[in-house]
Amino acid sequence: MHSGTMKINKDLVAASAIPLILSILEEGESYGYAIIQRVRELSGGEIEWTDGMLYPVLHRLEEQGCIRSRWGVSETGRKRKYYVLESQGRLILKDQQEQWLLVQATLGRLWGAQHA
Amino acid sequence: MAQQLIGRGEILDELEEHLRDSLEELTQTGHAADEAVELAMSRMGQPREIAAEFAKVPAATAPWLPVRLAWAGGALLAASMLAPLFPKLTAGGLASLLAVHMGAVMLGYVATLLVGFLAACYFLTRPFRELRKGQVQTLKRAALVLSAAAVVLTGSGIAMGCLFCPHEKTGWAWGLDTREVGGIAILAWNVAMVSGYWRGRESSRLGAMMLLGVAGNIAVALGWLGASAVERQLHGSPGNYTPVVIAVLSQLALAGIALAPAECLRVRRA
Repeated sequence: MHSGTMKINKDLVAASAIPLILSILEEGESYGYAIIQRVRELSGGEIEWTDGMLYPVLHRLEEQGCIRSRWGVSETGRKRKYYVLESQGRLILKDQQEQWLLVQATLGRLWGAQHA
Repeated sequence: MAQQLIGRGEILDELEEHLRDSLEELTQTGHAADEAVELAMSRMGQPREIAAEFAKVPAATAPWLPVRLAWAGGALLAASMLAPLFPKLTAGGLASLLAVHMGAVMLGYVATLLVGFLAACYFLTRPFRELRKGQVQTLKRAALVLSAAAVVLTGSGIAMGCLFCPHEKTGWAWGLDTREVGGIAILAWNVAMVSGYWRGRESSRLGAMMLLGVAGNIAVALGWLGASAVERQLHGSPGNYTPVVIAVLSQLALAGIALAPAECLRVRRA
């Protein structure tokens, strides 16, 4: 996964991948291509993942029981693999949210104080 | 990449579908066909890197340790139970019939208890972590195969008993003595288990399916140990119900753990 127009640190892109994927799946069932499009849309094109690298992450999340997949049929009649969030994934997402919000709040206080 | 992902055809199918979606979007936004292919392939990333990442993800067929223990333990138990019966099995006549009856019924009950063992392992693991996809698949398959084996073994054992008992006049065939009733009840529950596991092959309700195994343990405790205790009492000897009570209470406790929401029981790691 790599960043788009802004040079986002690759470790940050990698660390944010799982909370992004789980959060998108919390909105509802989705599939690989749509997940990538959603990330692009939400970040205003600033975060662009290497498409193929999403799938090992999805398979690892499924192997860990965080998400579940099923083969369905797309609007064009082709088969497509859909993913849905499981209860284990919701727990992990909640944990990730707490961690990211804590980091965001801490940095916000620091930068807010420094620029006041 | 296809060579590196041999045996994982689903992954190639998924990546192909992604490429098709990407091409469709690019051509719809005005890119020429060859330009769209080049752009879609570059967005996809390096095949070697993708294959290397997939190599780190365990294949979906990795079995769960309790399943392996159930198969290995079941084989050892079967061998140890059948060994003493071997002389009678080869004796011929009614002795062979009796040995087949006893062996089949015991193996059928053991198969049922092995499903219960897997169910217990599942519910005791659940507070700590969810099973991986491959582990869930091997667990469901083992439960289905063992339940089906239980139906065949217990059913054929009961049939053998029906042939044996009237001949020997030592029991009753369909006279509904306690052990007959117990065996039939266990067989009925085995059929319910097979039905549940067969219909649940694609289901995500693993907890409900494993409860069938816990109930199977209760059925064997009542139908085998309980029936034997009642029969001893009917024949004037004191019936020992303690093992039955302990077995049933332990399974009810397990059912209590099973019915609690997983989130309430989740053990948070530091």
